[in-house]
Amino acid sequence: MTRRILIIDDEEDIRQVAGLSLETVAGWEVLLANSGLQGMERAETEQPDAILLDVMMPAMDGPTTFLQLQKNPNTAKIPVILLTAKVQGSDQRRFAELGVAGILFKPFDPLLLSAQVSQALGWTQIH
Amino acid sequence: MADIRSPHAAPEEVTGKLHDLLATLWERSRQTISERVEVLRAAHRNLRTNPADKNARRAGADAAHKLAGILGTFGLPDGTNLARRVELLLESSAPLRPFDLEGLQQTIDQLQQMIEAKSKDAGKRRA
Repeated sequence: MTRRILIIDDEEDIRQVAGLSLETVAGWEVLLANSGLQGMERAETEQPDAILLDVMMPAMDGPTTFLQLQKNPNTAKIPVILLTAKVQGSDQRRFAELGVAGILFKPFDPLLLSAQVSQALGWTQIH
Repeated sequence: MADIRSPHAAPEEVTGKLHDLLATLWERSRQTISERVEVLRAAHRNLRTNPADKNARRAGADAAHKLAGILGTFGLPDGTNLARRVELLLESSAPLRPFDLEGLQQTIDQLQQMIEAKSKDAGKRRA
């Protein structure tokens, strides 16, 4: 079964690297969105298996986007992993308290990203 | 069971393909990355004139945050560390001293050299 992942990030280079990584290493189908609003729309129409969501975005940041996704019954059950370059413990605690499925950190290793996503979501890996 | 391949078991051709794709992506992202270094330089110039310039600190911290998030992903973990140092300095509420501004200048120079060195290396590999 091919997984479908929605990447929401305002930075094009991050979207591209993460997308290449997940497609090439894991063979997953990748959907992209460049803002929280666009991500919410794509999540509702495309129903991805999981969402990789950037924390710092203009207009609507990652935590706000996550809360909006949770409010919508059509997207509330889609697991969300936050992607952040914030390394301070206070930020990490705040993100964890939101109830996301996981938190991954930038910079990520493109070879390992799919394994980190799988681990956060409890997805089985076939060797 | 999910069809999720482990990156630890990624065959060499997958790893090689990913590296090739990342090299191409680096070429495309280089201009954006250089522009972010230029934002840091502009922030530094403004802060030398007015160390209390909050807009310059904010703009510099944002650019440093983005650099910290992407450089390690492209194989420059030291670049991420330098950018993170700049981000923390500019995000702190402490007034900037001449010593800090001198250090900031040196860190920006190091970042630029690191990015140029990687680009030259990528150019040699293509040739």
